[in-house]
Order: sequence, then C-alpha cells, then structure tokens
Amino acid sequence: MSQKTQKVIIKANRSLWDLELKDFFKYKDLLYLLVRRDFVTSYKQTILGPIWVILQALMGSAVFTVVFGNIAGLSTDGHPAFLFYLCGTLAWQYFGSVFGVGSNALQSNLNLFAKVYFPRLIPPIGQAISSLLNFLIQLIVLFIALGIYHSTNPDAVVGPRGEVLLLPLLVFQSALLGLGMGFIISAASVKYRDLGRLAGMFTQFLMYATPVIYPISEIPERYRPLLAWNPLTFIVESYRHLLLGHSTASTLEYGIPSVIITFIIFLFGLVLYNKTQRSYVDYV
Amino acid sequence: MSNPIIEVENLSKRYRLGSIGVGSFLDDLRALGRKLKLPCKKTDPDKEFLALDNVSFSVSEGEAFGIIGHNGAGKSTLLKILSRITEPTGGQAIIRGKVSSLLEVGTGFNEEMTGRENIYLNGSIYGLNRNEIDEQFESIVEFAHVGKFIDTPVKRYSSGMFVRLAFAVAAHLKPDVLIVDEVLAVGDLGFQKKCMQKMQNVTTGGMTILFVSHNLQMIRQLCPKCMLLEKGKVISIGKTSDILSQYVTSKKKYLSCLEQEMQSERRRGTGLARFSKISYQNTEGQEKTKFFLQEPICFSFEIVAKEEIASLMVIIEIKTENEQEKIICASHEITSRPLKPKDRVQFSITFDKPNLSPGSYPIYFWAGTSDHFHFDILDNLLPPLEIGVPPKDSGTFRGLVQTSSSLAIHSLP
Repeated sequence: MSQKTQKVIIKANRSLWDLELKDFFKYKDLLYLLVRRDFVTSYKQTILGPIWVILQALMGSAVFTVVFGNIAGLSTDGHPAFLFYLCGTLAWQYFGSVFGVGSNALQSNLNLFAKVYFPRLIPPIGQAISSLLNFLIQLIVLFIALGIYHSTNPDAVVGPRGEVLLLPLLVFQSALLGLGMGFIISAASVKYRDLGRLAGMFTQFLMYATPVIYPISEIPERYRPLLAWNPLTFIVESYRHLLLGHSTASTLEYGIPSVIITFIIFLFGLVLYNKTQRSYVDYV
Repeated sequence: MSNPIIEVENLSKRYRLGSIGVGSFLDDLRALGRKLKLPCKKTDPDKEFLALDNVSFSVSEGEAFGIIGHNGAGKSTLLKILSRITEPTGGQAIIRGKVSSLLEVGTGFNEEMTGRENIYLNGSIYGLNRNEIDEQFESIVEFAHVGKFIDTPVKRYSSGMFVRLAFAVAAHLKPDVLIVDEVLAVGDLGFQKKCMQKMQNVTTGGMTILFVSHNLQMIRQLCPKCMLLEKGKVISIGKTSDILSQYVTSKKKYLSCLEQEMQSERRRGTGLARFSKISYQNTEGQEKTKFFLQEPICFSFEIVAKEEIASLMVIIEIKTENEQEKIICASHEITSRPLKPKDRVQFSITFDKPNLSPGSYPIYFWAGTSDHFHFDILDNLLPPLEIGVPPKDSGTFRGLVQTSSSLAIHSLP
C-alpha cells in the first residue's frame, strides 16, 4: 500500500485554535461547486430572475427617499437623495445577507453536518461568496443610476473616482464582519435558541445605529466617537466615499478601530463556531 | 506488523439526559462555576448517560470489521465519533488514512440539480477532488444504471434510481477507511447483492471497512472479525462466528436486552399501547430462545394501553435471516372492545408445528387496531428465534420449511 496521506486524531478537548484549516484547503473543489450551485440555482423557476434583486433595491431606495428624505427631511450629505440611499442599501444588504448566512450556518446545514464530515466553514463561506452575485447586480444598478443622473445633470460632481478600486477591500471587510457576527449568533443559539430570536431584533437596531439612512455628518460632533465603535459606520460611509465621491467617516480615525474590531469579531466568531461545530449535533 | 490503521483507546461519550431548557442552563452555569473554582454543586450523575464507556479496539489495514450490538449499545455513537461528526468526551482514536463514512445514502444531494451535477457535488462532499471524480464518472454512471437520465434533475428520478445513484457515488470513493452504517438496507435485493459484492471487492483491494448492521447475514458474509458492544462497553472482540453466537444465544443477554427494549420509549409506533412483556416459551411454560426442530413455540405477551384504544390486534411475523421475506405471518384480533388507559391484556400465541428449518429467524411484533392503525412495532428488536437440531437427529436440512412428504411411485422402468 502507498504511504498514507493523512492521519486523523480524534480526541476530547482539542485546542480552541485547531481550526481544521488544512482540511479547508483540501476541500476547495467543494467550495467551488457549492458557489456554482448557488449561482446556477438561485434564479431557477422564477420568471423575472435577477430583476427581483434590482426591483428590491430600487423600491427600497425609493421608499427611503420619500420617507426619510422628503417627509422627514434628513440630510443626504449633499448627495442626490436617491443615489445616497441606493448606495446605503447596497452596502448594508451585502453585510446583512452574509450576517444572515453566518447566523444560520450550523442550523441550516444540520442535515448535512449530522451525516458527513467536511470542513464546517465551507458552506457559510461559499454562501458569502455567492451573495456577491446580488451585490454585483445592485452595483450595476447603482452605476446605471449614476449614469442617468449625470446625463440629466451634466455639472454634477457626484460619482466614483480612482479610489473605487479599493472597493473589493471594503466588501471583504463587510464579509468578515458579517460572518464573524453571524458565527457568534449561530454558535450561541445552538443550545439555547433564544439568541436566534434576538438576532433579528439586533439587525434592525444595528441598521439604525449605522449611518445607512442618514449621513454621519448629521450626528452632533460629540456623539461621533461613539459611532466610531461601530465598525459598520466606517464601512457604509466608505462605500459612499468610494462610489459617490465624498463622505465624513471614511477617515483613518474611523477606519483603524473599524478594521481592528472587525478582525477581533471575526476571529472570536471563527473560534467559537469551530469549537461549537465539533459536537453540536448532540444538542439540536 | 505495522501500526493498525484504526486505533481506538478508552473512547467515552457522555450525554446529558433530559430536555434543554432552564434546568440544563443552570447545570451549564454550575459547570462554568466549577471551572472558575467556585463552590458549585456537581451535576446529578443520574442525569448523565454514558453512550460509550472506555471503548478500545484496533483494526488493521485491509480488514473488514463488524460492529454488532442491541439498539442503544452505542454503535451509532461510535461511528459518529469516528466519522468526526461529534467529539468524544474522553479517550482518543487515531485513524491513519483517509476516512469516508456512509451514515446515510444520498446526503447532500440537491433535488434541483441533475444527476451529473450531483455526482460531482456529492463526491466532493465526501472529499474527492474534481480529477478523481472525472476518472470515476463513467463507472459511477454504469454502476447506478441511470444511463440517459444523467442530465435530468434528480427530483424526477424514481426512488430506486435515486438510491442507486447515491450509493454508486459512495461506492466509488477511494478512502483508506470506509465506515458504513446500515445503509445497505435500501434498494431492492439485486442491488443489495451488487453492493455487498462491491464492498467485498474493496476489502480485497486493501480498503479497511468498519461495518455496522443488524443484518447478521451481511456481517457474516463481509466481516471475518467483529466486536460486540453492549450498553457502551465492549463485551468481546474476535472471530465473527464466535461473536455472533455469543450475541444470539446467550440467554442472559436476551433477558437483559428484552427488559431494556421493553422499557425503551424510543421505539416505533404511536405508543397508544405498548408491549410490556414478551417471552418465548415451550409448552411447559419455560422461557427460552432456542427451540428444537418441530418443537411447539409459544409467545406470551402482555400489552398495556397508555391511552384509550378502540380495539387491539397483534401480528407476529417470522422472517428469513436477511429480513427480506416473511416466512410466517400470524395475525390475531385480541379484542374488539375498547380498552381504557392502564388496562393490561395478557395472552399467548402458539405455533404447534412451526416446521422451520434449523437457523435463526428475526421476528417482528406489531400491535394496533384491525384497520392497521399501529400502536407499537418491535422490528427485530428482540433476539431472533433460534431453531436447533435435536441431538439424536442429524440430517441435512434444505429449504426454509420442513414438512413431511410421502412418496408414491407410479411407474419405474
């Protein structure tokens, strides 16, 4: 017989840092297939297909424009209201969908995880990647909306500049943050489902604590350091900076705590998720 | 000899009994408190249950190793731990090689996807990479017999095709260790045979198999060596024929198993009424599991109604050793009057001339109403019926049933 390729040691109380990353890379074909499956099946048996994603973004932004812009009269930081909200939703929705994927990772894959071993990180990471499809569609909608706006207002200064190339980094950060927070919720609600219920409420609260429907420049100066603790403040404001041209909280002052907190949350979520998956099938 | 490919040392698994809620939350808090060296009460040991208790064994390369034991003996827990689905609470296991485990057929199949896509997805869930699947693809399709349906979504497959395809993928994995749990109980007889053959081929090819089944025939066919588990402990390890006879005939085990099964609330059926006692007796009322050829067999029962039931009917089925066919099926209506909760009914059913050949016969007990609404099903949970040869009689017995026949010659040149 050939030299055995691997040796598995199964024992109690493994180290928290045993993240099974070696296995993760061995299963990269599975990751690829899962992402491809999501791409292929996401619009099966719908007539309008991706148009729903477009409609959702347009409708949401239109409602925000009317309710918060026109009726409540909130400032939009000098950006055209519709573009401002469209950009906010774009940023928020990708984070939100990744957070949703993460916070259900152990629960929605139970049937699979209870029957066969493969690295438990693959399904949520795969879904975080396939969520990019909707994100890209929305991004295109935003660019089209920008184009239309420019053709009707030729002197407008709104729009992306060269810095827009940094966008992937920002997307990556929102994915890490969404997965990290999601993993914490998913792991914590395995045994006691109460937390799963809290997650929904928490997302809503978080959206209002993040400058999605208002710019941070609307917040009195002395409260802003408080908002800097919310890593999403920097993320959402930076989307606006990169895609619309300017914003307030896209500076290092917000960026450094945001990136550090993102990494801490992601690492904590990763370790907790990994620790929980080892025997969670006993509890659910 | 080199190191064994599977080495299990003092493996234990402890479960907490009872439901998860405020009570278990308090227990968790206390456990946390003890970790922080606070004076906290210990968890009540009655609330804990050892599914595996210091299990040790080793399997060498290329061996087919069977695991048998009554329900609740810890077989599935052991396989789950070795498949890395859950963690042990003590001890360790070392597996030197790549492991694939089939705890269920068709795990991860996606209804919307075609057969072809599912082969790739399922294969990669089991850890194959794309090249390996490419190489095996043709023979998977051939083994599964799905032919031109390969590009049709599997939701349009018949259940037989689905199972065949799922097993075909599993059978073409090339792990060093294959862990199999009862999955062969699916599909038709012909396909099962094909699967068994495939499994036998792979062991001759050097693959190690860990096999759990209630089907003793399959264990006998496939595994030269096996292990008997009971209540989480290893009772014995050795040559399959020795272990099987130990498993089947020991009366002490039979009784303890019977008691345990009778108390088990997890068994099938709606539970409106339950068998509370079943014994196999001879005409003198002596309890035994082994009967001689042509000896009358009497099954004595007690059934307790848990809720109000309209009527009561009982069915006994005696099956062939591989549980595929019924040899005898006897049904009796016990009463057509309603029973109240806690009513007890005692009765017995006797086969005066069972006519069965020597061998071991799984038995199935069913209780329900005459319109086939079932209360309780004991599906091969009790030990099989053993028919032996009387000491003075030694002939060869062919066929399942022995009936006397007479010869009359009408012409002979």
